[in-house]
Amino acid sequence: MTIDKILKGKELILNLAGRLDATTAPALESELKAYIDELEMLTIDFKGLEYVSSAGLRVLLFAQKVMNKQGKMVIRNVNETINEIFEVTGFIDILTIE
Amino acid sequence: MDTRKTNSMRKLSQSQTAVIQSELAFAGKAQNVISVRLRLWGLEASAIKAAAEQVFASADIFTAELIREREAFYFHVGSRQAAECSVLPAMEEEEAKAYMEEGDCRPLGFPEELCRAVVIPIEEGGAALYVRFHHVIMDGYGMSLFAQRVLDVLSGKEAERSVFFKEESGEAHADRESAEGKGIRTEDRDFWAGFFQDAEFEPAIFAEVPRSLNRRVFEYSLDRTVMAGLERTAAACGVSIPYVLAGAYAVYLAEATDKKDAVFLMPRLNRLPEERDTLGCFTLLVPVRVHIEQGDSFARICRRVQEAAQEASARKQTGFGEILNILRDENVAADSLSEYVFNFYRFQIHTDLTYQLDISVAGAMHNHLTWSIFRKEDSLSFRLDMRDGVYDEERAGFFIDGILQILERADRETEVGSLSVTGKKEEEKLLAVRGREIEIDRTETIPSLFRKAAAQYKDRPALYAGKDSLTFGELDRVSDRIAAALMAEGVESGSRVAFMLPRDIRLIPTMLGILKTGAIFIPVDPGYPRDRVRYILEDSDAAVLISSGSVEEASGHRYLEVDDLLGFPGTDSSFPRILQDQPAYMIYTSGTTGRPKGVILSHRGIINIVHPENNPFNRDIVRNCRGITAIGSICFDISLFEIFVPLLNGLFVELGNEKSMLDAGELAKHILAHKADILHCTPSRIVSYLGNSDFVGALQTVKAVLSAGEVLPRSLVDELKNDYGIRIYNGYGPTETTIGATITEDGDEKTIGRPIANMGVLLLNRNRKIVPYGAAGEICIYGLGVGLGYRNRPEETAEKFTEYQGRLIYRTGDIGHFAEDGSLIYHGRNDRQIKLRGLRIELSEIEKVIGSFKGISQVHCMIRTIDRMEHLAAFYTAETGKKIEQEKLLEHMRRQLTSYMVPDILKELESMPQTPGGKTDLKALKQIPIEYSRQYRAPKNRLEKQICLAFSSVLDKEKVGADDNFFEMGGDSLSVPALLMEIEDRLETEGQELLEFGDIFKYPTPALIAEKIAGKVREEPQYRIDGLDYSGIDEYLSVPEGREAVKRNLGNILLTGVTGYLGIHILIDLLGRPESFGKVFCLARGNAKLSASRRVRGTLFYYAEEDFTESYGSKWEVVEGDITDPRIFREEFNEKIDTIINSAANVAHFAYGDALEQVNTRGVENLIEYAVAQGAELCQVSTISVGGVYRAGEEHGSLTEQNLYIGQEIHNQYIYSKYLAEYAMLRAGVDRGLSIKLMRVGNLQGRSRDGEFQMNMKTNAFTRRLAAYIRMGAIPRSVYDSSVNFSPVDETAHMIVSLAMLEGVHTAFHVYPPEEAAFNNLVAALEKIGHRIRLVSDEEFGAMLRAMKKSREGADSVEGLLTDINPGEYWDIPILQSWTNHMLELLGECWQPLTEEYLNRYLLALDGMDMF
Repeated sequence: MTIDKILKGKELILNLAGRLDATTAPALESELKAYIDELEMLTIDFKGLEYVSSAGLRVLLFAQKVMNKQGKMVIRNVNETINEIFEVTGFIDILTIE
Repeated sequence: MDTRKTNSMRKLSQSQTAVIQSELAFAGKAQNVISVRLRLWGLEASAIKAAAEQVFASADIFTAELIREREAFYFHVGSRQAAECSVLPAMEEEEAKAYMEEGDCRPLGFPEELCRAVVIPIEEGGAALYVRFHHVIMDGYGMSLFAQRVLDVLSGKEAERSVFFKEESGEAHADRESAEGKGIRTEDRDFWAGFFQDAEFEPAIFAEVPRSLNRRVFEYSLDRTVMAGLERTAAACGVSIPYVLAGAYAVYLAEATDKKDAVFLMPRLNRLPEERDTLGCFTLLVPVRVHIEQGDSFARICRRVQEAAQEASARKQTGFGEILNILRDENVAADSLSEYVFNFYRFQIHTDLTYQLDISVAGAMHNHLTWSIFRKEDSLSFRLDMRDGVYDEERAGFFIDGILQILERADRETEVGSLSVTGKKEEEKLLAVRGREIEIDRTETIPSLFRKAAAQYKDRPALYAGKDSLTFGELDRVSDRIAAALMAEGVESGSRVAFMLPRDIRLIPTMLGILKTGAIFIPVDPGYPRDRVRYILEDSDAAVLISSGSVEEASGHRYLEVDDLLGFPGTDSSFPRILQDQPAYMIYTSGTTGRPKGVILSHRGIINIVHPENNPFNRDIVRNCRGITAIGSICFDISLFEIFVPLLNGLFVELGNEKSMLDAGELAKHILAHKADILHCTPSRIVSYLGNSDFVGALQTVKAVLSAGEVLPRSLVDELKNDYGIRIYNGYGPTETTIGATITEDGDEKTIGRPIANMGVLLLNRNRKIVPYGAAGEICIYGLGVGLGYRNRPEETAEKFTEYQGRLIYRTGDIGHFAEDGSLIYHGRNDRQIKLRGLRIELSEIEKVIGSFKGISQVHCMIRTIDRMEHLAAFYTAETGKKIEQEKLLEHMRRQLTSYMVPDILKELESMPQTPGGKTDLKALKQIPIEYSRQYRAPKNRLEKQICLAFSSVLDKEKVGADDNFFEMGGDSLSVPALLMEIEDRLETEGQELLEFGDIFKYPTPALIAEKIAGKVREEPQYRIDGLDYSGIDEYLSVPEGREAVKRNLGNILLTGVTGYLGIHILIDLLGRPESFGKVFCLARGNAKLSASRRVRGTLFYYAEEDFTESYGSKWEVVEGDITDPRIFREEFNEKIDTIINSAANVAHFAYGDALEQVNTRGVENLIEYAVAQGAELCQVSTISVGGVYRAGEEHGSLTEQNLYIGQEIHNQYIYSKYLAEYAMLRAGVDRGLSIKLMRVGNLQGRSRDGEFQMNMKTNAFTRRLAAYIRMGAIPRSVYDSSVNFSPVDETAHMIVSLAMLEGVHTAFHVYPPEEAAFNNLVAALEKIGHRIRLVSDEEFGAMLRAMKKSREGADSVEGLLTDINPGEYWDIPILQSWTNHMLELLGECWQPLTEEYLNRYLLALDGMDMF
């Protein structure tokens, strides 16, 4: 997975590509942890993301919980395969998906 | 009312009441006029008159007056003079006959006049007594009796007194049970519902619905030899003659309606022995339902008819009206139950006088056919009373021939499968439905014909495409060059060559060029999705793809550049000789299950269809037109018609660009560019284009239009003809028979015309028998156009391209019937029969009704799902300028359709969405937003009102009616606890529990819940399993002692339920040991947005973190489908399946409707059929819950691997559905030798490896229960001290796969770890991750729970405990598993212990997903 980040003040945009799984999730987590305290807006762009595994979901949930307290988190460009995972897991109600 | 009058008042008997009902339904008609004609010789008219009057005077029925008071009728006995008989002036024999014939159809003066008698002296000698009765006072048997009495008096006997109205009881004789006000008895309802259970029948063979009730009569006498044969058959079959005839009737009706059941009506005598000699009306009509299988012997059918008739007869007292009401309630019958009556007269006249007796049973027909059989000397005579407009002389003759044909062939052992129902004459008429025979030169091919055209029309324009054009000569040369270039590339006769080109000047030369090499062209639309293109190229195994740099999509493929081919230097190569029967092209059409099928067609079909005399359209354009605007997609074969008919006959083709295919203005430009005067366009597209002024302007140029693919509305035909002088033709035909099979010149609502030259149409039923002329059957096409089959699909080819009496036919799957003139009337697809909430619905039938509403232009019905509930939706468009009032449309539908067939969603559209091929675009239609509006019924009392309010609050809907269904409005099992709470709150029940969780599923509307609370509903019986046939099952399950574990290779596997938690782990486990099987086919469903394959890959990655792409195709493959659809098994697997592992299940413990049964039971039944056919072993993932429960304190057995039924009870719909699945499998094992393994699993929990739990964790009952304890912060002592079955999913999957490999063992396995998880360990582990749970007494816990439930938030947080139904008085049956564990040990497998670390991982995994 590749993570491409754009930081604009208190807004962070992460463009993900590839697969978000147990091997790559820690990288995302550490990126998030490095910036999240300062953030008011977090956008994660899934445009290049092919799959998400359960480990990936856990990181998203972590981020969402933090952002719930201090701002907003948005996930965009979710493909149908991942969208279905969000639906089945019920994450569709927890995450903000555009 | 004085006493005398009261004493003489008689209520109507049940049979009389039924007569009155039909009288009122068709007031003023003669349907209840029955008559007797007694022709006598050597007797004076006056003597006959006197005899008749004596008989009238002898019977009380003739002195009774029928009184009508408001809606009620009764008889007033003795208040009138017995009927008189008048003598008419003499008539000639024929004249008298006509007089009586006409008299039969004249109504009597009901209710005053119930009988009229005349004697007609006959010029030729003797006289005729003609008496008309109203059926309310007489029945058929009574008429024979009446004739006997008259003959007796004439022979000098005294007329015996006949008493119909009994003095003492004050009620009519026949009134064994008063019909009045008794309501339907439960046992009657149960009987008739059971009698018609699963019946699949059609009330009428012919679809005609004439307005008049006029009767026609047809008579036939059986000759002696047929009679002798009939007697032999009766003796051989062990039934009496009437039942042989009724058996033939049943076979005829079932085959002619193409159903598995025949239903006809039989009048039953209904007389007690002492009533044998009573004049009056006793008869009761009953329906007889007979199930017919092709393998049944004729004797068996006859006996079945006899049994059914006797069974029905024993229940005749229900009364036909009530029977019909019951069957309508059960949704078995709509309006009519059967149009066919069978009537056998047993009465035998004894007299020395010379006489002739004729009996008529109705003067007007509200049914289609009444077949009466009379004894006549030593033979039988038939009388058919028929409804005019449905039957005529010819059809009646055909019917008799059909019956005789059956009787002639049928013997004791004759199987129904070998009986046909059409006689010789009818078959001749049926086979005459074919096109003209036109001689076709068998040496011609598309290239040879084109060369001839090129030579003849050399410099004439052949092709325009945008700014480019080619003359015939040029087109010939250019296509030669392409052919030569292809041959230089190695293309040869028989090669497959695909092309993917834009619609420009290069397209048609390429097609011709490919054909000239003798190769097969395969059109590929550049606009197709990438996957489809790839699929077509792979499946066709095309040697070459021709494309161009200008086609964006081509970049992903290897292709020959078309421009290179066009620039090829040499043209002088010699082209191969091509045979007419050689394949010319292959077109991919959509398969029913989503994978396109390559249809292979020869030159022959094209040579036939382009013949200038082939059909009226060709004749027209060849004589009157210049050229065509071609806008058909090159991937639909209609485009070949657009191209080849003009080109091979010297006309030009104006090839429309991509835009012109969808844009009226652009199309208009093309038409005008070179004044093309022929257009091909689907009806729906023309209708929508008529709003465009450019298009309307261009139409002035057009002379002829060919439409196809849809039914052509009359209004469009008229509009084009009257406003534009355009002749429009409508063609019909599948790709498989070369473009077209029938064509019509005028088109009305339904007909799709007659066959084109050298083609014919047959209509067959599902048993591949020809159906009677005028009956509906599957349209099967034969003749020169029939194609060569499907690529790589031998089974499907064999199924669809088959033979009928030496003709190669193609079975279209469309249904139609022949109109009288031989044109074909189209009904729709035979796969458009759907099931909605368990009811069969024919969508085309609904469409027909909607389409008949004034102002409707187009209509399409489908099932749409809203809030997880299926609804019947109808989409329609209005004719230009017309306004459709939905209320009136609904009324119109309610008049003609049963309630469940009236769509609950009606949506008017501006225009019907269309596919590129111009047909209605179903996919787009599925995406159109809809809303479900309910029929509102106001609550009728306080109770209903409060429940309605509870619904509104839980569902967040403003207005809820008393009949609104909780689940149809978006409620689901998760919202049931909230509803229960809300209802209890509103009714202030103070903690008293009125309803259980499961009640809402049983009683889903406020009205039903109110009834349940008020104690008005009958408790449903528990799920009965005690009455099943368990013979042989325990023996089947038993296993020999001390056997070795021998492993086998699983071969090819069909795995279902693969997107489920267990299914995906079985797949992962299998892929982890690829040496143990061949290939695994995963059956999965796609949805609106995702293909099955994408869904499976997404799920795989979610759990396994890889998508196994490398082994996809070689070791595993996803097949789109659903076990509930039996078709999938026919369509999709080309490789033999050795093992089936079924982990597909609906695991909801409560569900509304038959959702559970659908998947869990019927789905398994489908798999059983497939497994039997494949000789595969079927491994079923079942549940240890099939062990069921027993009543506390009673004796009970244990569920082992070697039993199923041990006297347990089942109280849950889900378990019941799984139990029945096991039962069905075991029966197949015992009775049919199927090898099965039942994998009974326990409580599936997180993975052993990492604790990972199921994706949809919030739907799991166990985790929801844990969550409730956490939220309460407490657990009751009794639970804390207990333990729970805990089966890690990955290990369970692994064990299932290992056990499936056991060779030669067919039995059950109890697949769960030997050790349970103790709640105290779970509580301890939860505490470690920060969820502290206090141990409290059961009493304290109960109090806490009640307190929590008082508030909405509290109730929400403990809902995991509310769905837990524990009736208390029942205990679980113990489950043993020693045998499974022993086998696992032999296999070297062992369950991991449920360690603390594991429980920690599991709970952490859940916590990390926010479960708690």
